[in-house]
Amino acid sequence: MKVDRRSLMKGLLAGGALLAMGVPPWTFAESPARRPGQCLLLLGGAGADEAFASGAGAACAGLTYDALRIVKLKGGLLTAVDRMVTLLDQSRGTRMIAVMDDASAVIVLELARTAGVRLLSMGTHACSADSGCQLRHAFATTSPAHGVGGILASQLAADQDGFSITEDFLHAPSEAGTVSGWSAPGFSSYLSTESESVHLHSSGLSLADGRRLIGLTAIEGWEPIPLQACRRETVRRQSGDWVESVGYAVTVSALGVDSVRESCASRTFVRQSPIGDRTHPQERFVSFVMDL
Amino acid sequence: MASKYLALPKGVSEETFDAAVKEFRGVLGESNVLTSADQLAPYTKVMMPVAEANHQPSAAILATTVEQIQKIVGICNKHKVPIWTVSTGKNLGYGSAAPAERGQVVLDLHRMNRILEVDGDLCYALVEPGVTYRQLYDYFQEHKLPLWLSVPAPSAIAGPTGNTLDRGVGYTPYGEHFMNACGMEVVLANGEVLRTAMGGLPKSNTWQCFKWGYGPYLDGIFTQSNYGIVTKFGFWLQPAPPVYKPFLIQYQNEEDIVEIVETMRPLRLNGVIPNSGVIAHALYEAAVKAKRSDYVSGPGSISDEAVRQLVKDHNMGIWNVTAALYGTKEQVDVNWKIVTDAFGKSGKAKFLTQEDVGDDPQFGYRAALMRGGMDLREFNLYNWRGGGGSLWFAPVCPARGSETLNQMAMAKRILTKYGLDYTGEFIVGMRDMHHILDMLYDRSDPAMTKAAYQCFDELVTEFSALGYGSYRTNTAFMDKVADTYSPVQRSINRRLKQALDPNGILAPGKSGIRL
Repeated sequence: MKVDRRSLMKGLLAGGALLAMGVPPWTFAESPARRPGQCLLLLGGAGADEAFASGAGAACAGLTYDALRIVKLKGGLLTAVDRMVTLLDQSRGTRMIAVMDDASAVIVLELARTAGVRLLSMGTHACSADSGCQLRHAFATTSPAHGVGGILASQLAADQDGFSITEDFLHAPSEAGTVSGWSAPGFSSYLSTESESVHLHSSGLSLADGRRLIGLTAIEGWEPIPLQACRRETVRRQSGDWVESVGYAVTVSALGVDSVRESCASRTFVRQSPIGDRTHPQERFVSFVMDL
Repeated sequence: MASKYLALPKGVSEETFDAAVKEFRGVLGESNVLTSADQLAPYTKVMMPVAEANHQPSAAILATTVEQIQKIVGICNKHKVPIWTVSTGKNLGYGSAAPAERGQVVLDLHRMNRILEVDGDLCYALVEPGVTYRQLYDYFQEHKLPLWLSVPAPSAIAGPTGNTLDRGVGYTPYGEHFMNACGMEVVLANGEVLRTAMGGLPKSNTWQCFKWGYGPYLDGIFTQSNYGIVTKFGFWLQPAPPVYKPFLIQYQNEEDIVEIVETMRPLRLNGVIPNSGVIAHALYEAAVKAKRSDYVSGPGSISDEAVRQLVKDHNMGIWNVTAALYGTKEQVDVNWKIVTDAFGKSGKAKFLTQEDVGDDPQFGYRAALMRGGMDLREFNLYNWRGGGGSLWFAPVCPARGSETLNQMAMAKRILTKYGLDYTGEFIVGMRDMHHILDMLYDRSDPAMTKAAYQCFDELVTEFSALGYGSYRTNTAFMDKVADTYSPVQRSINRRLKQALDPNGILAPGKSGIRL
């Protein structure tokens, strides 16, 4: 395990890499209230490591967060379980962002439970040709306060490709009678009339086609979310590299930026490209945000 | 108004659950009763093709002593709150640590992890349920004990109690784990503590030496069941042999499994091959060497042509037989000649030993597991398709070549119908085989997830109709599998439940057993 204790931001700035990565000129006026004291990025040896880290670096730059520690787990976690156990044990009080392959993710989740880790979000990310939608993301998030889906949808909406994002919240506190929704240019937003706890945001395809694509056919009744109840994400950054966008969105959320909190237990973003999807290399990985 | 809990036990009000949680905290302390979403998320994740909400626990509680567990069952009886007990909770692909039913409280015993006794002369151990194989492995190293474990694929992170109670298997001569279990301590639903077999004597000195005791042998009813909470577990250990010789035999046609099984059965029955060897299909082994996406793109299962190319590219067999010899050099030399003579007759077999393969990862992980080593590389399986979906289908097969070919062909036909790959192996017993099939699918793809559910359902239905019963299953299909066995069995299980746990507080739904 290679532990790079240098500040990622210092490294990026020294290398003049921010401009090269296309980091936008904006920064946040104030530090997010939920910003963690210590944050660690674990790169688990997946093919996505580099691009994810690049997106994470851009998020740190935008937030002027210069204390991200990076740990690289070379060769994957299946041959480094003891080192992972040690890392979890020795990094108490740290918020960990992690990216790894599917097999490592299964084992990390087991180690996390044993270590008493608090899991804030877990995302499964895929670009593959064996499904109706090439780019797919599925998040299991503990609460809307740690939502990632809306931020990621806003990043990906700026690209040309289609995508689907589902995000299930384990705990969605209800505020009686209050509807709040996410919005972005080109998207139409709906809520289920059978159960107001499901939101669907669709772009480039009909409501029926969107539901079919993401397997939401069991719910029949939908109605538009009132425009006045909708808000746009405050952070946006166009990358062109979908993995980098995931790294960016996950890190922005992990660093405590408030995303649009929707009044739902589950939400889905689906977009079909008007000009057809570009062909991307097949890629799969899993992301985590957890408090150790 | 929404509950402050993620879920509630069936039929339990929030007020009642509040009272139970308060009493749990009184026994275990505030920090050992988990109810928040971020604490429970690691207990919620499943790999099955069903909504995680179906298996959402209401709380997780962590106990460390028998006395605490006795008090907990008292609280559960008082408030009719059901608990789902896990030892280390590493039941990957069978439901992990999540309960069978939404709202059950997970009783997590992973911190109850003392190694109580290891006897190097009589070769046994007595442990608490949270003890992992890794702990024992390290203990043997530290104390320079020449003892070997038998471990399942999750090796380092799993433990002997949970694996044996779910009747899991390993790959050494002690690979049939329950056969090598010896003595349990069980907290019953009424709080009584039972020590089985010889453990019933006040000054017992043979609890871990002699399994049967006097009168009915009870240990079996505490496996794959919900009649008690096992708090101590005894089991036998293999003395480290002077010589260990793992080997791999490759065959290049799916039909060759008939010859493999007919050759292997007598060698297993007469003890020449003493361990639970494995006959693994190329697709079961492929993920340690290759990516699926290098051979197939688009929907559907991988083609036979692609599998042949993969096998050729990575020097694999369509069938890969791994087994091992244990003993003195003389014993191993004699038995190796018997093995090579038997498998060599037809000229189809290709023999490979450690010297031939060097650091080949396929041979490496199999060789490690057959000596009880800590090696997780089998779980590269989860990278084969990716997406976090896995269901183990585990029908038992008679150790006859024709039957194994029939099961393989049936499984492949059904899987192909649903666009899934045959990722299977046979773990070789003496008279039976555990046909283990990891149904890998992408949980981020709703259509594939739906297909995986339907596929598993069809596998259970079709296999059981031909007499091929599952020996173990995941929490989403426990009732379905229980229904494939006779109604009399289910009725007896239920009557035992009524007698031992009249309030139904212990893991309702486990193996389809409830009041």
